Amino acid sequence: MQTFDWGTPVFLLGPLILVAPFLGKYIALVLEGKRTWMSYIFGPLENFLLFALGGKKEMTWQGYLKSLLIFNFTGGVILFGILIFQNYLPLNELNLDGVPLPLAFNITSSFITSTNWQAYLPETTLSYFSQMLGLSVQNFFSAATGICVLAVLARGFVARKGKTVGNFWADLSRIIVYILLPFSIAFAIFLLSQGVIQNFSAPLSITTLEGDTQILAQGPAASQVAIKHLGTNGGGFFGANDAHPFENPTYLSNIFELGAILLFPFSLIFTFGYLIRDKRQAITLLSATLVLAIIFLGASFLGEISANQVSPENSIMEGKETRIGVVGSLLSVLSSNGSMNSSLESVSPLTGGVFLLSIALGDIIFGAAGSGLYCLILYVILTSFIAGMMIGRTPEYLGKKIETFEIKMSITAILVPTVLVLLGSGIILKFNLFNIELGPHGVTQVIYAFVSTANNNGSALSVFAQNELSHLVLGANMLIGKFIIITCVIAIAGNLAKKNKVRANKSSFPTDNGFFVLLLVSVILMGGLTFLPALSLGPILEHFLLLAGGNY
Amino acid sequence: MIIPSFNKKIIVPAIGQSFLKLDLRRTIKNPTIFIVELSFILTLPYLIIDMMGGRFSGFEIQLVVWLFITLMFANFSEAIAEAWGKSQANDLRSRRTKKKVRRLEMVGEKLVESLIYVSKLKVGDVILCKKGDIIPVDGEVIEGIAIIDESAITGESAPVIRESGSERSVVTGGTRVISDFVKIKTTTELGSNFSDKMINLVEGVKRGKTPNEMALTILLSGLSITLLLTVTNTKIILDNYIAVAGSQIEKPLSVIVYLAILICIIPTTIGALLSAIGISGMDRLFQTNVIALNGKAVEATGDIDLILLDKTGTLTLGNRWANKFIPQKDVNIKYFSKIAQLASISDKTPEGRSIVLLAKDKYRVKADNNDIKNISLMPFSASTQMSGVDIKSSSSEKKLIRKGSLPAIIKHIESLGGVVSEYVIATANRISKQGGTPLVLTENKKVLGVIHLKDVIKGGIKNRFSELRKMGIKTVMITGDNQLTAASIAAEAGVDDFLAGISPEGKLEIIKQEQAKGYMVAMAGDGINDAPALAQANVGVAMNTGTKEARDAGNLIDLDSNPIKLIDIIKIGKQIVMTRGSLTTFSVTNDVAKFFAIFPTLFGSIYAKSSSGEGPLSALNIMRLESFESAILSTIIFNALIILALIPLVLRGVKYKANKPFQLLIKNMIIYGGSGIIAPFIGIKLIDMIINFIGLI
Repeated sequence: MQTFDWGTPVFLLGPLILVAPFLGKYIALVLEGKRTWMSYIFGPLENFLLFALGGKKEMTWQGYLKSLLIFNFTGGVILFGILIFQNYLPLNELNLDGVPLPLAFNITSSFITSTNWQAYLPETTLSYFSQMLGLSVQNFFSAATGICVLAVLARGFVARKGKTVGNFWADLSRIIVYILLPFSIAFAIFLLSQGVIQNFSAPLSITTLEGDTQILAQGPAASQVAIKHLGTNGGGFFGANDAHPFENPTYLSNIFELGAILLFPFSLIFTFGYLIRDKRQAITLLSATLVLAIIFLGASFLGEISANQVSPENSIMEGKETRIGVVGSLLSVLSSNGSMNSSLESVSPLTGGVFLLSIALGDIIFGAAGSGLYCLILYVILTSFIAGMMIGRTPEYLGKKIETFEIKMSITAILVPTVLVLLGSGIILKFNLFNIELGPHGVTQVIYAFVSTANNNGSALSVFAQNELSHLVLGANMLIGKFIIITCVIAIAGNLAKKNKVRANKSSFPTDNGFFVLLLVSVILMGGLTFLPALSLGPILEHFLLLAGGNY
Repeated sequence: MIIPSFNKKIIVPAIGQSFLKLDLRRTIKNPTIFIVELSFILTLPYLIIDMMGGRFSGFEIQLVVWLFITLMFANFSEAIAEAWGKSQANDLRSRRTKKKVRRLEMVGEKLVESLIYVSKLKVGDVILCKKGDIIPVDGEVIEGIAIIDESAITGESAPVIRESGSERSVVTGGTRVISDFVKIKTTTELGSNFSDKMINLVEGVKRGKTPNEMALTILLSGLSITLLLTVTNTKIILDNYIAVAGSQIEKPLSVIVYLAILICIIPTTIGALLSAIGISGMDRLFQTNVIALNGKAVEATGDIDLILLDKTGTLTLGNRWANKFIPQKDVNIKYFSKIAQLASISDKTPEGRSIVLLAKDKYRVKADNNDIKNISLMPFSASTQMSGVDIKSSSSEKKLIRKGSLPAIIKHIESLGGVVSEYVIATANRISKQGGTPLVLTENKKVLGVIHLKDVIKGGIKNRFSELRKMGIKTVMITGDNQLTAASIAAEAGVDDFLAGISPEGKLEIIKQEQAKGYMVAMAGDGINDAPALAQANVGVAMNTGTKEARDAGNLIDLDSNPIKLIDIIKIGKQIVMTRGSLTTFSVTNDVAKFFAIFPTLFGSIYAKSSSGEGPLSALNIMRLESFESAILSTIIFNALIILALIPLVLRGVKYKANKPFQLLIKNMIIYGGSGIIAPFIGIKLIDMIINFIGLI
């Protein structure tokens, strides 16, 4: 283990935990529509947007959901249009053709769901126009959507016999104007200082020391890299993503980029705490996330060591950069981003399995902006349900009774990605529709692809020959995974809002202590049992075969 | 709680019922068991095809048999809980309906009186109620006039007159005839409504699921469907490997094996016992003589954090009783007692009788025949507000003995030219302040002293209210009495708080206010004026002695009319939910061991290089089970037997002790979560050893 391996989490998590409560409170103020110092600068823009979009009137949960879906659908149609007609649009330095329909569908699904599964090589597929006005814009919108849903859920817990859950257009405007935009601009400027490029030049053709010719892709990277991290999207400007020096040039940029991925997920936990007026609850949720992070980071690190038979005390460095180190590489996968700074194909089978499980459990370790936390709260609802029963009360969480409707929606939201993965990968593997090699590694690849898309993570365990079918299937997977969960969460929020708040008293049990963290983590890990057979037949089998000296 | 002693009378019909419960239209309401039954049905054609093809597999036949046994155990648990409940309902019915009543019938020209069971009474029957009888059901007086004590129903201690042909002709069930007799035409029937309702509540089919049960059913269905996909997915991948890399398992495993695996890993334990948990909760409730009108109310009692108790008739007996004699300083207590007794000898109201009793029991005075010989009764009259007796003594002088309220007595004494002493006035006022009722006793123009009447709190209440406090539940008494009266009763009953001077509408308002604050409110009451509050409360417990209105409004009826029963009801409510939660945890945590038993052995031989047939994944066979056949068979046997083993726990319910919820949670998690993880590891390993030893595989 090297200094980098210890340094990265310490440099990263320390400052984050210090900053998150303050940023969290700021976001809470923004979501509650309160004035902050930023209002002096962006107030007029906010007012204009609220006026233009009709952001004054409170919405029922159905109204909110409808607006959210219409907005995302419209955004999707526009992005789809930009992609397929990019050859008619400006800033097409390489004279690229329009994106083929199945791939365009896949990219569109991928970016409106904040998955950023990249079934294409950006340098040779997308024009600068598509990247900037298509993908970057969606990076903002999809991140904002996630935060909106979280805000609605918090309001559901706060309201007493309320009919409304906020206004989507107001939330959307405020999140973009006060949160995403200012932070992205600042971060992009920092990235420029580290050497991330931002230009509209055509690729350079250079001669290397060996005398070969190399094409150096260029473009407006910094602006996209900034929101890709802050919005927890993860779609790289270049195919190599964060492993590309133009996206991630220095150790410092790497720390900051990793930090930027985690900044909002961390802060939003505190935002939730402020919104529900219960900071201890926020700390509980944060602890649960950290415990899971430690478990999975530890497991993946051991996985990396386990596969190195030559010098068993060291982890394998193939596919990783020494300046980033092993832990830094592992963190970037686990943080639900998929903006890899290393080659995922090179991790050991067990590490791949750990990643797979972590994502399959709902991608809640840190999670994407908003979505990681609302998925975690779905598990919290389930945990409270079971724990509540065990003390003989009809269960409640944050003073709201958890009844049939909440369970129906939570269990649907939690199980939909799992069903998509098991059903989808089952059918694909049964008829081998993706034409993979039917061994443990091939099986893992297919399952990983489904897990990553259904849970909107976006990382890929190697690129198997993707075809039109995989574009369509995985594209649909992302859409279903994202929007069914959102629908369920908003429905839960709407139903919770209608309920009166039960008084916390001596006979209800506390959900803000270490034991609850333990229960929550156990419930989440129990969910992993559904993947145990698949994991055994994929990564674990591959691991044993690798140790036995085979390669599959 | 006692586990019923199960004899053949309960078990044999329960076994029969288990077969009837195989009806798919019934099992579909319990999705987990529905999946078990469908799987069983699905295995049959495969088995037959295999048999006809001469591929006889003892292993597969055993799996199918155990599938069926699992199903039967699940049905049996429900059947036995039902059988227990029904036997109790029948007991209760026979107890309630043992009472007899005089029914008048026209047979030809003659009016015939016959004694029949109350339960046989129909609407429109004419019954005769004499002095001392309890009127069994609501009705209308069609002949006669009688004084009736309605205190048990209305809380009013003064008896009322009911007569035919007036607007005062309606009588209520549960009231008592104090004097004379009446003929009553019944307007309701007692019938067997209660026991019918009870039987519905303990029959799986008719019993509606409670919201909590519904939520759990959805959770379990979701899990089951996902696990179905897990098994399907496993089959697909495994079949691929068998085709590509070879295995000891030469051909893809049959569907029967996968169905057996499915049944092992879906939460069959809790699925099988779910319905029995709810039913046996009802069974236990009936044991405490409480009738629930639905299961939801019973479970809601577990959430109660505030109990409102109506004072009169709920906390206290309906009438005030004589508690103490306080004679003037110059009057002998024995003499006072004797006069007090004489004064009340004609008084048939509960107050009057209580004075006679007090004199007899506490002051050892008993009127003899000499005393009564020359007595003439002066019943209570509205104009004088007094009652008493006139005694002709030997000296042919008349003794006027009177008792009445202080103002009435002052008027009476002054008219005779006497004075009421300061001491008596002060004593009477003190009693009033303490919430009692003073009755002043006089002999001619001399005031003898004061009789202290007070509310009598029902027995054993105080100790048990402290138990409620330990459970985190607040008790509040509500009454129309003034502050002082209320305070003294509240202190005596041991409630946490009281609200005095509350009108009937006020009760309703208070409940609404408390609910708005987020409290789950239970209301215990008996009067007509309690009915709206009983209906509004999250749980309304009506005293059986109460009015029909109250009983209709409440969702629980306490046959013993004792508010301390609330503790038992709350405990049972909590127990039902706790048992459900604990067994869910047990069932789900079982999967850890089951997964480790089944899958490593199933995958053990793929990619096997050595001739031993051990592939790389057999390293995961940490339980060291013999083969995948024995592993699956052991697991399914364990799975079935655990259902049977848990039935006593289900009938008894998980133990509830008033404790901090956090400690309760930790305790139950350790007991049920912990054993859920450990028990199957041990159980499956043992069964595996046994079946390999006797050679079932």
